[in-house]
Amino acid sequence: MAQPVEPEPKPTTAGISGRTKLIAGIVVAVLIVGITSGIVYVLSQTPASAFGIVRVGFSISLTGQYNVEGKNSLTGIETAAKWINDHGGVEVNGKAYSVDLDYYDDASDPTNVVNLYPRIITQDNAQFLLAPYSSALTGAAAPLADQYDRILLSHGGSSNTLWTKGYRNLVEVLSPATTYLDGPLDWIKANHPTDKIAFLYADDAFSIVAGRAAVAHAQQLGLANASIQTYPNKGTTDFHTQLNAAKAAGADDLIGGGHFQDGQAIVSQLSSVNWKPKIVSLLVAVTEPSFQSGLGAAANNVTGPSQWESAVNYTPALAATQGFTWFGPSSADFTTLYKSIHSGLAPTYHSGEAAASLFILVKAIETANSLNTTAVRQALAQMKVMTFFGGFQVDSTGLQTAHTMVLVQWQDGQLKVVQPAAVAQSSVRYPYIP
Amino acid sequence: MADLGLVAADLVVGLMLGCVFAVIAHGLNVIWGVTKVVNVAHGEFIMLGAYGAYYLNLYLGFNPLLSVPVDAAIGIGVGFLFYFGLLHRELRGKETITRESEMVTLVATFGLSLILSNVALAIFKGDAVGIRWAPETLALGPVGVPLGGLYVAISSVAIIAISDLFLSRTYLGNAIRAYSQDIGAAQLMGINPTRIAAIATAIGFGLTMAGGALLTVWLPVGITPLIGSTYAPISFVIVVLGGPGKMWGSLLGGLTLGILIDVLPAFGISTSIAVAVAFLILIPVLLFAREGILR
Repeated sequence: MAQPVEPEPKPTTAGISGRTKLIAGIVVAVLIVGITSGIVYVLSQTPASAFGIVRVGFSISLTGQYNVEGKNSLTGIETAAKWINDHGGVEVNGKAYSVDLDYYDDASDPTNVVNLYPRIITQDNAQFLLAPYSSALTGAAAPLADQYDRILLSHGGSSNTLWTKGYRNLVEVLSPATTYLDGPLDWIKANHPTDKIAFLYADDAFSIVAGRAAVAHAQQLGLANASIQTYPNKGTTDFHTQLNAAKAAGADDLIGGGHFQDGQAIVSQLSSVNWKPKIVSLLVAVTEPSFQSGLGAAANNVTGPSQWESAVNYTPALAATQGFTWFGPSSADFTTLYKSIHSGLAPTYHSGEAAASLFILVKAIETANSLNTTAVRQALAQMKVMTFFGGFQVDSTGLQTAHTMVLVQWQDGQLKVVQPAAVAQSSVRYPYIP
Repeated sequence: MADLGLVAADLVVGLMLGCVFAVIAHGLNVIWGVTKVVNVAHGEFIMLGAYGAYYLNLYLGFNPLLSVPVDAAIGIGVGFLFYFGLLHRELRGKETITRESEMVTLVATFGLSLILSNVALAIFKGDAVGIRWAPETLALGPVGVPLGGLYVAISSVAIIAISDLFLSRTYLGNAIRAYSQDIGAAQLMGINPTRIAAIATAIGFGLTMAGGALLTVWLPVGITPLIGSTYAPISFVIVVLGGPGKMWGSLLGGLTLGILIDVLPAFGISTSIAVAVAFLILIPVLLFAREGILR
């Protein structure tokens, strides 16, 4: 009878266990990751100017509530950077620097802005800053610009209150919020002074300043207020109640709005309450092409203020007659370049104002002949410059005083400049008939 | 003194808004009431339902009402995936849903919410879209009734009525109710708890995505990847007001919120305060009627 045989132990592979191999693998992986991270960190810490670069950092809203305005702002900034780099870059002390853009999506959220700007400054070594889109986000970035001693040019934040807080490095490129709704009110006063006006505006930093200023301006002009209502900026999608109230108050005209999504919703819901105001003039939303494409016929004859339209032609000759120094491309050249690098899309006023902020920054650096924050801030305070976007001059707080706005209206699918008369492409259509 | 015509107009709008709120909260109500899972990703599934209706309109020309059954069918499929992917491992074999299970599912659905909203942002790019459909208004004396809102209100009441009939008059519905009351006893009666929980979750998701489709009628523009963050809190309040698992509770909660939000401004109260008052109702309900207003 065969005896049971004990199984032989399995031989180990060259004396190295699987556990040892695993540990060795982990150690190697950690070393590779560590060394790579170290190299990336060292490279990122290298001063940007050592390579002849002026790094301009910013956050922008590519997603979230302000994504439409933010994306157009970014394309404007990219166009400006390309024009500057194609035309010799930024000249300081005889040396040419190219503009390098460093940006992140802030998702329209101020908490992201607060996290991103320190990173842009301390890790990415941005020497100058552009503000994010909107007054609320600009307000989040402004104290950081002072804390880290960087110039911050505002192209999408126009609430006047930003310039009452003593920020030394915040400089405004666009017209302040208090002037946004003057255009439609001035036109109503001149043409239909007996119209009663319903004011309906959002309660965010920008809209509330613009709305209150409009109410005050209407009172100065002697126009009658039918109703004054505000709505929460965040999350309001239903405007039936406010529109019903304005209609019941006997309003002829509707003035106000806030930003893109609420502006579009207000116009879309006018038909639901069966109200056709004679003039509809809303902040921000109206100038965006997607306002018209989203609403179709309902967008027809809606008016809104615009910081800039490509049809408004500021020229070196005009600059000379008004005592400004001209800088940058003409409106036509900017528009052509913008279209050539952005699939034929035309620039909006958000593109224009954002691009202008970079041109103004570059002009200030060249005027100061320095990359020093204090020197460039002093140059900004003293400059009187005109670009394709219009005039630039600021008061001692950094608030814009030279730029002027226009009034636009959707007419048969086309956005037309209708005021002031000197630059108008068409006259105001009245009443609003979608 | 408030203008009576304005109060009437706001009441009509408030009733319709309440029905919109009710239908978007109804799916959450079913899932919460039956499986005791608080689906924090509820808002994201409303958003997906709305985008479903938008793309069905864009590519196939469906009006939003036609999209409702399609969205509901997709939602049912997603619901089964959701149950077996996220909930089954935690809920299987349990005769009662413990606090620990509630926390696990809460965190899991919170994670899902973050994933969905960020993936949606990446795919849809945050552009506000919408469906232009049925903008006509029916004039009833001084009050204008938007037909789109009226269709949503009728659909909302019909969906809630059908779900109530289903739960009270069918074998499967009774099995779901039995499961929601006592899992152990339901098992003794021969009910397969996994099957019932999966079906209830799937129905809840179907209702949620159908609600998202109906929302596009009420909002002709303004569908974005972040729209869930607006409607999810409203849905939670509605379910607590009406009582989880009580079908008509969705309508009661929705109408309460809708009427308060839309009618208070007619008395000179600002919209912001009206919204705050509507949410404040939650506090006495939680203190004195934890099972909701409906008995």
